[in-house]
Amino acid sequence: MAGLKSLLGLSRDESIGPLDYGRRWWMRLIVGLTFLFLYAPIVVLIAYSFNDSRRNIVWLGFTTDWYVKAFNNDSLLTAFANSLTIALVNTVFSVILGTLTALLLWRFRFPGRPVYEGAVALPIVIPEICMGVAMMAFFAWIGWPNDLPWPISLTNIIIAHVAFSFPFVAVIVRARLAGFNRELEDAAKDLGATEWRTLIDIVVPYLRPGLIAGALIAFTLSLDDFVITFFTAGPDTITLPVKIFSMVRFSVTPEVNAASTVLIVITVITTVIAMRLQNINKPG
Amino acid sequence: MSDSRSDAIIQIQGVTKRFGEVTAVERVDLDIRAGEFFALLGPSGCGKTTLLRMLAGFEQPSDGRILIGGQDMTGVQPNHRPVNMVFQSYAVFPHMTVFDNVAYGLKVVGTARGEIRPRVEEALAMVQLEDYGSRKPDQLSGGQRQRVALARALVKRPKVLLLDEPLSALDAKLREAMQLELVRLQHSVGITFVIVTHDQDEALSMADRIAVMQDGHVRQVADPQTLYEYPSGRFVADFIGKMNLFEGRVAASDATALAVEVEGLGRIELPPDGQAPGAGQPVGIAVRPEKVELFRKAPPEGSVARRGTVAQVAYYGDVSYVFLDLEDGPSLNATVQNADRAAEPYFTKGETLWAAWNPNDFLVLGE
Repeated sequence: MAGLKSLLGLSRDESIGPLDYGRRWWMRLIVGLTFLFLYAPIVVLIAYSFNDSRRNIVWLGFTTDWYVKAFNNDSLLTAFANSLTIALVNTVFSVILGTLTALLLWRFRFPGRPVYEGAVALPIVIPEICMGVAMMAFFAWIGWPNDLPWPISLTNIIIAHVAFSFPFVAVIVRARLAGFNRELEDAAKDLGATEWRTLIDIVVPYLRPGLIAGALIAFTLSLDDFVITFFTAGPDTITLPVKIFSMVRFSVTPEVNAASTVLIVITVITTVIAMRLQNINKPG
Repeated sequence: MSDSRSDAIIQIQGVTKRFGEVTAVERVDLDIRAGEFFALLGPSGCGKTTLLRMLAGFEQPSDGRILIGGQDMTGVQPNHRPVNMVFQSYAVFPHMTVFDNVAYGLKVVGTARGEIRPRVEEALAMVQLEDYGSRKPDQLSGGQRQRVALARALVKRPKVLLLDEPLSALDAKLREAMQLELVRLQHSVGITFVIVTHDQDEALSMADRIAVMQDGHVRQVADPQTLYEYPSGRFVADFIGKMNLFEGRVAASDATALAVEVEGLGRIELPPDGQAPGAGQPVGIAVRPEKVELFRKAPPEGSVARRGTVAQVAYYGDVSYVFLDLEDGPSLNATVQNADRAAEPYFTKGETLWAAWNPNDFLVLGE
């Protein structure tokens, strides 16, 4: 009994150091409730994706049928293929554009630089719904054709995604560059390297963790974006989040749960990798 | 006309460097001879690093020109100059092994593959890092990283090796060892070394010649001994070593005699000096602390002697600094060698002594 009490931090006779508050029962309660608040809906979603029932209300037994059904749903698979294609192409362009932006802002002083820097960060703070409407209006205004063959038909969604994800890459790469020792660059030039060789041999290897982290962020942002995609997608260019939304409008079946779970798993994996690489970013 | 002095490997001709409103280097003329160990010495902000960066090509002079090996370097980029640099932070490439760091400068200019390995190994042997080729920089100590930076520059066989405060990041013991090692290395490779430092001991102990800089100007260029014993002005006298400086006024100055009336010391007769200012002019006279001798009895004839009270004694083991308050006001610093272990008693606070020095050891410094 005493052992259980001390395990829960209930015994008050021991003094507690400033970093030992994790042993207070009320502290553990708050942490527990926070996690419950954050993750209960997701846990329920995942749990019901294995529910042997057409409805998401009563638990009737374990099954993986909904995953099989989801993988046999052609329109769901098409949407998934669209999402992956868009995410991959977006990642490539966002990394290149974001890195160049970061290098420009880090390397050069020019009139209007603070304005430019602010303008680049704007897509991060602008409400997504505004970005979405703006993108839709923009493509309508320039008369973007709707009848292009796949995968060219995805181009306008990709453009929209690059527009909101490259600033994130720029911010990450910029943070990495802040710790760069300029003498490394001077040293390479001193040893005979041109500007280009210095960039490829010295700066890019230094930036690599930032580039990978930026790429994964761009990938996840694009993969699970709904709002902006919803406004730019045509009838033949549905992505997975948009598809799931349209499925929900008819009925919430565990098939939707299964598709959502797949999306969650992919997002979590890439985010974890991105966070780990961010930690490598720390100077030292 | 490109090479006026055959032994000058670097000719700096009327070089000025301005950064906006600030003039970092102003009308500097300097010849650095082939094979010499040359130091640019000065306090921070004196322009010495800017001058070095202009030699390396990272900055272009606003005015004037620099010749290296007789070639005008105006507009020549750093990667095309026959000089290499050891950076203050060493700038060892963190993602490359020691071997790849040293090999980089050869690879990047397309040196034949077969030639790279022996040259890198030779350079690593030169700095005693033969067995460290496969290590990454984060597995090296500060001293070892500096050796990598040295090997990486020397493997290029530059005409001139530039060193920017190379020892400032090392601890005192290692710094002393590296001073000796750099001199040894310079002798063995025969390459001209130009070192930037703010540490006078470093410059005096290593360099063949030193340029002392202040506020963008070169104040004096001389070998260490001349610089120490015959500084050209107040700044150099004060910056190099320790100095007792007294303000006075010239009482008499001609071909046969020089006399200065010094506040608190009275009239002092000095050997004639053709360059001394005329009678009535304000002048500073200075004497190095180690040239002041302390006596408990009356000092020998012919020296300048004054009585004073010991205000403080700073004991450093090899030497002691004795701070005296002279009877007539000014204070005086004397350095005493603790050569005799049994000598006692040591000078103690409050003791009254004679301080004496040879009039020949006085430096006369104009405004």
